[in-house]
Amino acid sequence: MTQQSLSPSSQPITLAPHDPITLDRVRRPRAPRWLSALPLPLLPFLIFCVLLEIVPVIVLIRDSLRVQGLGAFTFANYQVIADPLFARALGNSILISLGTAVLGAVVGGLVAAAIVSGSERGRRLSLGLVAVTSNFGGIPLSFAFIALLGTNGFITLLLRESFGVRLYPGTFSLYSWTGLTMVYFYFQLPLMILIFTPAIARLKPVWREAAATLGAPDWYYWWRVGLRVMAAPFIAALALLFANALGAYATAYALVGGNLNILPIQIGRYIEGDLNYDPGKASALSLILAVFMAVGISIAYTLTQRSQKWLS
Amino acid sequence: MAVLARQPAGARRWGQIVRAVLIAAVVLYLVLPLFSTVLFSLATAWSKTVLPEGYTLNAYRESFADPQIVRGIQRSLTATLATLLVGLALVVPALLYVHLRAPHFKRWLEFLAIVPWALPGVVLALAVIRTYISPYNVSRPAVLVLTYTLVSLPFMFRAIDAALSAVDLRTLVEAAQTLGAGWGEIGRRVILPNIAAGMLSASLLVAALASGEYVIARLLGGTGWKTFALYQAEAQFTDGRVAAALAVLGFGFTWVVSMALIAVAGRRGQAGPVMNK
Repeated sequence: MTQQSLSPSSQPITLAPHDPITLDRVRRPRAPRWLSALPLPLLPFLIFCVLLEIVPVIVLIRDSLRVQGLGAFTFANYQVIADPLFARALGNSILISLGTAVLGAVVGGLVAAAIVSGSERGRRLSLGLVAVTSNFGGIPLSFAFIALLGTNGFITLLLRESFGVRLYPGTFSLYSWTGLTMVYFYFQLPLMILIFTPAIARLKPVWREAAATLGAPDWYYWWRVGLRVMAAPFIAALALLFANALGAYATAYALVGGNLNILPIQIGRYIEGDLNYDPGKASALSLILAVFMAVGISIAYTLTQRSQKWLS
Repeated sequence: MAVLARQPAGARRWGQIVRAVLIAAVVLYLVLPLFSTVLFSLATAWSKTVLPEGYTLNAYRESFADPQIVRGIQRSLTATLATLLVGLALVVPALLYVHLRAPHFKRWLEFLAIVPWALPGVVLALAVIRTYISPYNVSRPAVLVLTYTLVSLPFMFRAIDAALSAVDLRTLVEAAQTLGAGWGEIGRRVILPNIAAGMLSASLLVAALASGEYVIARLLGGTGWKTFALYQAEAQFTDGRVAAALAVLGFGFTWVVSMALIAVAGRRGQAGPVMNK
């Protein structure tokens, strides 16, 4: 202890590098050069990223390339994607994510345009609702749809008791791809509106007026100017919506309890199951899923970085 | 003006009608599921009529009388709060340093902070489980909190970075130093007021994200440390009324947090959604 305060440079190694109190005390008299060059405030962040981001991802990649139990190198885990069950899971995941992304982007884009052209008060109200609902998801959201369209849901009962239309059994099922699409659409739509409204609001009225002054009809302005300016933010939003749905687990699980074959649920099965616990295959499937998700996020990120800062 | 004059009055009117119908349909789509959940949670019997036959608060009473559910709520709140504190402790010093001393470093930090965004929850859970969880070791709640911190890192980073980027902190701090302020005073009177809103919106984002998170809690916490979302999922298969009451509680919490977020972020529009689906 005394030695530290007397000659700090002689024993710097005994210091805990992330202990700011000790360091502060020592630093004040005279800090050794390497210590003052070290960006101390960055250390916790960097250590965290190494321990929880970099190391686990490396472990994931290692696991995906090893024979379970033996540890020998293999690519066999990746062949699991050739299995029809998992190939279909990946296909289904991509299809429903892309489908709900396109649906959400188109409808959400139109709604955003409608909101922008409306009154200031209407805009604030609808954006408030959208901002709140965009945070809904997972278990409670699935239940909300069960309460709305399940076998004893509000609309189911309304149609049956008032109009004599029976949804169940046969006509409609919430516990199907249609139902899952509806629930996904619930979180895709507000996300799109939230992202896209500021983008549309940035369309300058001057451009439209200029086009009109030059004699361009409305559709021509949209075709040659509006849509082209909006293309980058639209594709960015589409990519983000795709990624948003691709990783979804809780929503689907709560709705159909694993009866629909999507990739996140299959991965979950490999992790949890006592019988089919297989970290190698789970890791391989995870990395395949992550690649698709990363593509979506990267497209969204680069396109928005290029046009302007996200949501600003 | 010229644009408006070109359109015949009838077309403009139709446009307005289409717009109104579109917005009304969307509002209905967003509100109806919530409305039916509330109704469902309050219903006594509701399977033969359009509206419930009677109303009761029993499902809520039952939920709060169940010690397991109460414990689940406590755990979720604890995990959320802990995630918040860990996240702020990691991100605030790093971003302050970068903004004040080493702007060229920001790109690297941003990259590290964005990466978890591109990894689905189930993948993150698997990676962390394989690295840190074995049958014998470490406290699972602690690992859960660290994983939540990881998941919320992108949102936290953005919110605080946006707050710091909005002002020229470096100049402000230099000005304060010129005027003879010590670091304590600078922290209290220059840095804190400028970063407070960012910290608050980051905290609210974390609250929206961690409070109802399901897949990581299930795979990581497992049966030993069940959070609110796990009981919610269980109730769905056992007691519909309780499940509805819990869903209303979850929505209510998210609603309050989101409204607070809108109030804090205001016009800067930081009330970005989180990915917790």
